[in-house]
Amino acid sequence: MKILAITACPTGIAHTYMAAESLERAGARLGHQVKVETQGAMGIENRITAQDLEGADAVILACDIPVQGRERFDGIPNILEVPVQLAIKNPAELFARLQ
Amino acid sequence: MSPELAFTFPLAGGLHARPAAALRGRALASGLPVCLVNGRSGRTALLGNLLEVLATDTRRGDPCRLLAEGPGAEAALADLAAFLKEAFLATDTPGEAAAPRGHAGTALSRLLAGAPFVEGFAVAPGVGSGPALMVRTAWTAVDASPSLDHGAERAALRRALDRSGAVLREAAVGQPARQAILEAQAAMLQDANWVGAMEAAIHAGSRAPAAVVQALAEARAGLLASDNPYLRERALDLTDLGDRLLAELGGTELPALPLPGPCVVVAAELTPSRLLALDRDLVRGLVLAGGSATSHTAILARTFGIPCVLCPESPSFPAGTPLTVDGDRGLVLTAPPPALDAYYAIQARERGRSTLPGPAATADGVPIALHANLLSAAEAPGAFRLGAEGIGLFRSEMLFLDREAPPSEEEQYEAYRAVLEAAQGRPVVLRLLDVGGDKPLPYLPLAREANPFLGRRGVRWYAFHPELVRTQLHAAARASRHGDLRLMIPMVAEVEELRLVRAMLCEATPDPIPLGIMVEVPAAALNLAALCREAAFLCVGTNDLVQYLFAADRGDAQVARPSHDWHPATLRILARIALDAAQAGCPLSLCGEMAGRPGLLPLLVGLGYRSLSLAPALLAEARRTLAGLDSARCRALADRALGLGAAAEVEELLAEGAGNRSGTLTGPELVLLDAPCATKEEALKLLAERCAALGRARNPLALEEALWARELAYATGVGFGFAVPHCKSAEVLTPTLAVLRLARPLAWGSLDGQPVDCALLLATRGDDGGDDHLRVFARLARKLMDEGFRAALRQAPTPEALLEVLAATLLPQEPPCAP
Repeated sequence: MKILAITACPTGIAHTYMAAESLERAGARLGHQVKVETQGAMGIENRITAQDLEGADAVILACDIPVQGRERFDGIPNILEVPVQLAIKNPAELFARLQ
Repeated sequence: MSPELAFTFPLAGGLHARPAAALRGRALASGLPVCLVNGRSGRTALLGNLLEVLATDTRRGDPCRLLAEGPGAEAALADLAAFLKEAFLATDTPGEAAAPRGHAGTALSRLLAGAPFVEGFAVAPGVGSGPALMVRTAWTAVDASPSLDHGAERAALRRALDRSGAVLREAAVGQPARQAILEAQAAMLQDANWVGAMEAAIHAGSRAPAAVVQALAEARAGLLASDNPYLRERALDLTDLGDRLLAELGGTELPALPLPGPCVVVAAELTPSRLLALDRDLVRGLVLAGGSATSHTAILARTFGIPCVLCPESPSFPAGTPLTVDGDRGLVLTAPPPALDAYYAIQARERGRSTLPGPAATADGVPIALHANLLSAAEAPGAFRLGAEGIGLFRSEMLFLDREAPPSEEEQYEAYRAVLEAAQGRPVVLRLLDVGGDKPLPYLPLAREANPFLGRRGVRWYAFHPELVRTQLHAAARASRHGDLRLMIPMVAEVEELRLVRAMLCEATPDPIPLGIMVEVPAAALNLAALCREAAFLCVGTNDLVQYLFAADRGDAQVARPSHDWHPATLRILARIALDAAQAGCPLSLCGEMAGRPGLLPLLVGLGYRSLSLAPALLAEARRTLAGLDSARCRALADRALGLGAAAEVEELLAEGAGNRSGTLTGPELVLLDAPCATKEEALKLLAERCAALGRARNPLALEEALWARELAYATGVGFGFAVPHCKSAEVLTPTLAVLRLARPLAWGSLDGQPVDCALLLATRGDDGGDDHLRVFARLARKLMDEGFRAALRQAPTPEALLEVLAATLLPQEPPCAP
């Protein structure tokens, strides 16, 4: 599957990046194509582009604050919203929920 | 129409006892009745009547007038005008603002787990524990039977008043810290209204002791009814005087209170005399009622380093109740749980790091000697407790001011010796008499000067009164045998002045006592090479130097701006002084308010100053600030500042902040291995205190609270035995990464429910410009998902090895993720 994700936590120092790393590692292990955008203290990094959106199957929003640019995913039916901590704790379970 | 002097009342603390006594003393010296009119309160008082003066309820900003009558009234008011601009400002000790209400904070609340505590006001810092000892102030029943011999009673009262005044003045001798307090009390004994009330009571048939109690009760009631806390505070001084008067009338000494052992003294009222009568080594803490941080007892508690909390209501605990007084947070903990001991022990140990004797240093290891400025000998032990490496400025003139006759050689010798003995071999710089037109002495007739700041000040005055200087030099020479004494001449402009004093010193003693000079006159600063050839050392007095550089009276806020301290002109003359002193190889230090402003330390370090002298209370913060600076960055900062043209531009440069602070994110002292923390509270406490001790955070308690705020939102235990406590807070001065590896895993509320054995602290200001440290934090957070990295952090045998693991992983090699 081609999966897009955004991670964001209130301070944007630690959890955002741990969650991103966790999703990328688990996604690769499970054979998914994953791109994670981080919305942290340094602003938006690894931004999801229009090109990324083409053919995307699902979206994971692992965020504890309002997501910026959420409308980008308007056409995608499979959107999973979870607390950022879940992406750190059990990323494999999130991918399973998307199936 | 009588002449008058209009002024705006300047002191933040209002017209409380010490300034009032000083103003009274100055007015009495004129021999004329001087009247104070407060335009806001509408009250009027004769300056001779201290209680009446206090009752004017004068606060900062009040429009006031002084009126004088009789021949010389104009001159007396001119004298008072000069006094109000200068010496008067020093009578209000800084830090006297109302104390903040106590607050337990998150960690302590959790550790207390419902154990009772009282929220009071923090007035003297530190933490102390012991069984409660209640001290009650009660006057023994006085004889209420009437007396017909009014004359005898009146004579007895008069004797008691005179003797009490004499005892207070005697107690003040050689105790300059307490001198102002005791002399203010002595002045109250001469208050006409109060004494009149006692005499009236005797006239009505009371015996002298009953008259004292009655007049006291009335006067106290009047003060306690005021809505001015400073005035209410004076009720305690009256009680103190009542104690004395009754002791005199009864022919007994003030009873000393024996303490059974170490304890926390709890009292609704504790007068300064009663505190002084206690065995202070056994007093672990003080819990007092009401009052304010300006209470004389609170000031003494700070002087003696006794933690003190004021309670809003009369504190009462069963005798022997175990109490902990938290003088930093303003709490009294009753029956504190044992878990608190370890928590407070961490605080004590880490605070000790920033007050330890030995040189303070920048983060890159450049030692900066921190010395203390003293007003009085009594402050010396406290200054050394706070880590002073010596006394950089002992203002001897305080011994000479506000008294009727100059201090004898013996009295001076005792004061100087007291400081030298407290110094235990560390250097003590005694500034020779710095008085003159701006700080006149009542016992010396001085010609009136149109412009006293440009007149016979400091050394210029010595030629007119050599006898006073000789006595001081004799006293200093005798005292010098008790330690490392150095003498410093104030207001030197020319080499000849230094030679004059050297000749006087040679006459006084054959001993080779080092003789240095204050550099505070621009002419001296611009002729330093010649002065260095004859001076043993130099000390820059920035207050006067800046005043003379800008031709701006520093007592006049309309012309003297605080920003003159960091104006490029000031920095250029400071740079030149440092350069000339270094070329001549002459030891250089700097005293003055600049040294006490943490924000200016990067500039002073950058300009080459390696020895600073400041008020004892400011030492710890200066030490912490220095520990966070990088000397090379400071030099670059100073170079840039020297090229600017306005104070505002320097301010902007300083505000950038990051430029002068240490660029390092972490260091060996921020890697704590095998830490024996038993709770998460202790772990976060240790991290917060360590950051503050190393100059990376302003206030350890506030940083601790910021970390807890994050923890409460959701625990930072991320699984695998790791936690990343973090915060974005203005309390953080330098972005910091710290590692705490625990001896035993702790419950942390982690995502996977497992205990934590390794905590990584990430702290940032959030507005420090540059994302470099945030990038490192992000990379670190990602790497924690890597099992090999976690194992390397766990296995590193030393802090240095662990730092290598971090460096290898975190230093930028490639972007953390593809763009």
